[in-house]
Amino acid sequence: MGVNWAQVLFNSAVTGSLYLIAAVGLTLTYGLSGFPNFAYAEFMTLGAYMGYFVVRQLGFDVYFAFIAAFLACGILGALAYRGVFRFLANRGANKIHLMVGSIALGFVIRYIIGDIWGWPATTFGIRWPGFDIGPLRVTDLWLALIFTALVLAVIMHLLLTRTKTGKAIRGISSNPELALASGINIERVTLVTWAGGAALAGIAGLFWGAIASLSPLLGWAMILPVFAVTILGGIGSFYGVLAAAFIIGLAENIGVVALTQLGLSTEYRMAIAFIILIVTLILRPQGLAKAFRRT
Amino acid sequence: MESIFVAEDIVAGYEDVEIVHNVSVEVAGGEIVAIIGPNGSGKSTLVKSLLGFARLFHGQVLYDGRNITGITPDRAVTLGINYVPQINNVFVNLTVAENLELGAYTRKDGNIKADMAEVYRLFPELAARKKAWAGNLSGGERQMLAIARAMMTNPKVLLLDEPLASLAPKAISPIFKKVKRIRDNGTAVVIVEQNVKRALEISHRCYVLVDGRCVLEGDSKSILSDEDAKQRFLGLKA
Ligand SMILES: Nc1ncnc2c1ncn2[C@@H]1O[C@H](COP(=O)(O)OP(=O)(O)OP(=O)(O)O)[C@@H](O)[C@H]1O
Ligand SMILES: [Mg+2]
Repeated sequence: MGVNWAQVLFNSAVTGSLYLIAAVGLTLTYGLSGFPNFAYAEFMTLGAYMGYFVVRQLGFDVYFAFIAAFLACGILGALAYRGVFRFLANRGANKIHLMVGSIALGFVIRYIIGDIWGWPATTFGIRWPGFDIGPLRVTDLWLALIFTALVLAVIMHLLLTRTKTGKAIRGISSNPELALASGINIERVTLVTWAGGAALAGIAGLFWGAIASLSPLLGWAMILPVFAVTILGGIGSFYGVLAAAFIIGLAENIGVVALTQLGLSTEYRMAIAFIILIVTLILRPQGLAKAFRRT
Repeated sequence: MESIFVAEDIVAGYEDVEIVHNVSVEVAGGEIVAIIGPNGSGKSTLVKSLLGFARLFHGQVLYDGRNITGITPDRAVTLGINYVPQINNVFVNLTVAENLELGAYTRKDGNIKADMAEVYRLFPELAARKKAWAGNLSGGERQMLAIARAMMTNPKVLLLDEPLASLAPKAISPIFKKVKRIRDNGTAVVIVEQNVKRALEISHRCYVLVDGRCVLEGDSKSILSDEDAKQRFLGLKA
C-alpha cells in the first residue's frame, strides 16, 4: 500500500502545532517555578469544556469559544499559582510537595468538570468538512491550528527577545538568585507566565476537543506527549519546545504509518511519545535546549 | 568621611545555623573596603545577609542614614545598593546586552540607553561583544559583565563577592582598574577577597574574618606595614 508522505508531513505539522501550543506554558512555568505542574492536564480539559459550553450550551459561534477558553484558563492558571502553589511554597513546601499538590489540584478540577458536564465523551457538534489541496486532505480546523501555532511561535519569539518581561522570564529561569539581585519582580513575571501559559493550554485543549472529542479525561490523555515535548525540548526552553513539538509530532505520525504497515493497532501511538521521553531522559536529560542556547 | 553603609553587630547564617558572629562593617562614601578571610570563614554569608540573601539573626544595617535591616534584595537595588554574587553572576543564556538590560530592570525612567553607553565606556571589552552569549565569554569578560550588570542602576554601594577568584593572572589587573574607576566615579565598593596582598593593595580599609568572627580591622596601608599583624592573622611573611 502506498503511503502519502505529503499527508504524513502535514499531519505531523498538525500534531506538532497542537503540542507546541500545549507545551509552551508548561515549559516556561516549569522553568520559572521549578516543578512540573500536572494540573496542566486539567487546564487543557477546561479549555475544551469552555468550547462545549460556548458552542453547545450557549449556541455561540466557535470563535467566541477561543476567547472564553483563553480567559477562563488564564484566570484558572493565575488562581492556581496564587491560591495554591505560591501559598504552599510560602509555607515551606518544596518542589516535590508542589508537584504532588499539582496532581491533587488536577484531580479536583477534573472531578468538578466531570460533575458539571458529565463523564461520557461528547463533541462540539461541529462538522469540519475535509477538502483537498494538491495531494493533501485538510480541514479548516487543522489549517487554523497550524496558523495559530505559527502566530504563537512568532509572538513568543518577539516576547522573549524584545520585551522586558520576556527577557526577565529567561533571566529568572536561567538564574533566579541573580534575577532577584537585579531587582526583577519575580512574583509578577511568574504570575503573568502562569496565566498566559494556562490560557494557551486552554486553547490547545479546545483544538483537541474540536478535532477529536472531549471528556473530563481529555487533558490527562494529552499530558504525556506534552511532557515528552517539554523534556525533549529542555525544561524552560521555548526554542527547545518549538523543535521538540514537531519532532515528536513527526515521530508519532511516522509511527502510525509503521504501525499500520505492520498491521498493529494505532492505539500504540501513545507509546511513541513515551519511548522518546524515556530515551531523552537516558541520553540527554537536559533536552535540546543547549543546542539553541536561548530559552 | 560620612559612612554610607553600616552593618552593626551582625549575626547571620542559614536556617538555624549561625555562621557569622557579631561582625560590624562600615563603609564611607567613595571608599573601597575589603573583607578578607580563608575559605568558609563566612565572608559571603556576611555580605548576603545584609541584602536578604542569607538569614540575618541579629544586628542592624544602615544605608544613607536609614535603617534598612531586613531589606529584600530587590528593594536594595532600587535604593542604590547592588550586589555581584560569587558564583553564577551572569545570565549565561542571555546576551551581553540583555544581561545589562536586566541589570537595569528596576529603572523606571526608561532612559537606559545613556547608562548602557556609559557602562560600555567603562567596559570597552564588552562593547565589542554585545551580541555574544554571556555563557561564551572568557572568565575575565564574564566578571566584567557581572560588574557591569550591577552598574546599570548607578548604585551608591557596590558589593563584590570575590570578583577575582579563578581568574587567570593577566585578567586580574584589568578588573582591579575597573573597580578603582567605579570608586573614582563615586560608588563605595565592598570587595570580598581571599588573596590578602591584593585585597590590602586595592582597599582603604579591611576586615579580616576567621570562623565567622572579625579578628582584625583597620587601615589597609598600616596593616600592610605591620609585620606582626600580617604574620598572625594573614599568614604573610615579610
Ligand atoms: N546556603 C547555605 N546553607 C547552609 N550553609 C551554608 C550555605 N552557604 C554556605 N554555608 C556554610 O557557611 C559557611 C561559610 O560559608 P561562606 O560561603 O560564607 O564562606 P566564604 O568565606 O565566602 O568562603 P569562600 O571563600 O569559599 O567563598 C561554610 O561552612 C559553608 O559550608
Ligand atoms: Mg564566599
